[in-house]
Amino acid sequence: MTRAGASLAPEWRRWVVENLLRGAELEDLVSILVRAGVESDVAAGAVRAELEDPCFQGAARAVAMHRKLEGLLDLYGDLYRQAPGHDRVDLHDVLSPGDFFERYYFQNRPVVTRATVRPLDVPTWERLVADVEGGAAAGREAPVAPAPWRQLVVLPEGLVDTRVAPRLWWEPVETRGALAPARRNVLLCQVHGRRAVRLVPAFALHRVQGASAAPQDVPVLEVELGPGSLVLLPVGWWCSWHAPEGGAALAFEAFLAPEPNVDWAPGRKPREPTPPPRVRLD
Amino acid sequence: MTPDTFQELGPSLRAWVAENLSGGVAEDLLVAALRATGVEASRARAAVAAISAHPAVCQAREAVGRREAVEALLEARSALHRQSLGAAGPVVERRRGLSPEVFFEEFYLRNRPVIVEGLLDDWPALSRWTPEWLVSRFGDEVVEVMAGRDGEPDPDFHAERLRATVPLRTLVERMLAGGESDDVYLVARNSLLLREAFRPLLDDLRPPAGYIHPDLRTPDSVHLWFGPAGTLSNLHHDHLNVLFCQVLGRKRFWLAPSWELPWLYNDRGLYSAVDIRAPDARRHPDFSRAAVASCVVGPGDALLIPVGWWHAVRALDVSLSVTFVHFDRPERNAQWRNYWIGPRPEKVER
Repeated sequence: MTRAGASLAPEWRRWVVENLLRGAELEDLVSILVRAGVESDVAAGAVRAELEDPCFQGAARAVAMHRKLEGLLDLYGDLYRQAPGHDRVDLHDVLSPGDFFERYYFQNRPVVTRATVRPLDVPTWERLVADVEGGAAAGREAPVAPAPWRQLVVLPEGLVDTRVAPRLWWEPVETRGALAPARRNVLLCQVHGRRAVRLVPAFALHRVQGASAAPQDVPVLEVELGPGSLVLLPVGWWCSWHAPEGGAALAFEAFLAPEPNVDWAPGRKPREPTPPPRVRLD
Repeated sequence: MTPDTFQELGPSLRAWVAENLSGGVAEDLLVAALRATGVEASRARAAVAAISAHPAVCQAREAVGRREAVEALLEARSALHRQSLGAAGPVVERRRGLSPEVFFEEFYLRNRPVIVEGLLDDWPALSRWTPEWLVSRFGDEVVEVMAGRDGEPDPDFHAERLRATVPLRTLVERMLAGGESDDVYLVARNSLLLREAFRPLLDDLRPPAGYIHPDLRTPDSVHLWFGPAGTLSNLHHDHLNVLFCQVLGRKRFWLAPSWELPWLYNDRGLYSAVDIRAPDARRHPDFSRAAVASCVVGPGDALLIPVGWWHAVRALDVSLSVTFVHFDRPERNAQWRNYWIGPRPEKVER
């Protein structure tokens, strides 16, 4: 017994396999092989052998499961687009913790509400930034010391654990944040400057991944944040932003839910094999 | 690597190794799993290495990162859902007097199940349809059933082969005499309600206003399920939203969210390998992570089975159910595309 596809050159075999996995029809592949000079019996035999090869069949099942998973995301997209108001982010001046969690956080939907923010004077701003820059490990997003931010911001009760220090996002004039996914839920409180945010739903993952901007067929929700705006960036959603005059925001990540947050962490655990087939070994 | 070592595993084990490598399982874990099934160590290592070099496996493995990203996203959604459940755990909500607007916005479009009570209050079928009445009215009509389900471990996977035709009278006699049984079941596939002789049954139904499209005479818009106590449809999902209306008897449902697909051991088509009657925690350990809700629907209850939700259904009594898939919306029923895993063994009409 010869191995599947042994009758074709390795690069043609790879081409056959690649196209079969993409769902190409046997006849189409055979006719291309024939045009390339392969005898039609040999071509048909080689393609059929590949289809009957258990290794090909196993790989094809994995590919089918991947397509199925992406099909599920598309299904969520279809349902999402049918909902009234799906093209904008809900805005509430007042939002109870119950509604915040039931309607938005647990449903993985963004929402904008309000915090009370004191205008930022120059000394406070400098102290805030100094705190961040003073830390050796401080990046542009760093935990803030509790004292200054509590003087600046009063959040609505019941959303986040304010004993956990937020991170500070701050940026100079004309800064743009490229489209990137939220790895966990973030409650972002704008304290200074304006920030134009564009949000892409989590189910668009396979359409957005690797793209520098949101593709045409993907919903994009726009929100304009000013001092006092409080926005939930839901885990898995994609976000890009523009701060024309520079600005600052506090990012809270410890939510008052049964667990403080939920991570989107692909590849965190090694994947376990599926149960082996029930076969008798001889 | 030689062709000989490559051939040493049987075809189903080779396919299994290839599938797992393609899905991102590490070679070591597969070698260990093969050894646990009795394959000798060096042979297991050689086989896994050879399969790992197969062009189809190499090609499929390039997408592992993207697949893991989707699965992790579903896991995040599952964690959010679980946190929303509270102390009671997963339950299917019951609502009475639910308006179509709220039904669609809070349940259908959010992919959440709900039992609507009182939706069938104006159905003549609810008081008229009994096994005896059906026999008196349609006893001589021949109906198509699935028979011999008891002798087939996966009856729903072999629907075509199990097709049989009997007079309705015989079906009902068997049903009433046999007690609990999964042997014979009149299932949706036979489109009974579309047959001229059974058209009067349609007049005993009322498509729930605002929920279901008023025209019931479109093919496939309404289906009938009739069977004895004991019929079981094991864990699977549908690719459309279904409004399941219980007319006679009670049925127990088990429901798990669509986003828990990665833990449902969907090994063939739209079926789970898990047997809801006796989940095997050793063979299917991840199933214990699924947020499975169980509920009983009785006469007059309408259950939304959201598209993609895993469900198993067992009849507790002689049972008559009607299902609808044409909702009263401008958009077509949301469809899960590319949902079938593996070859289609038989053409299954829905």
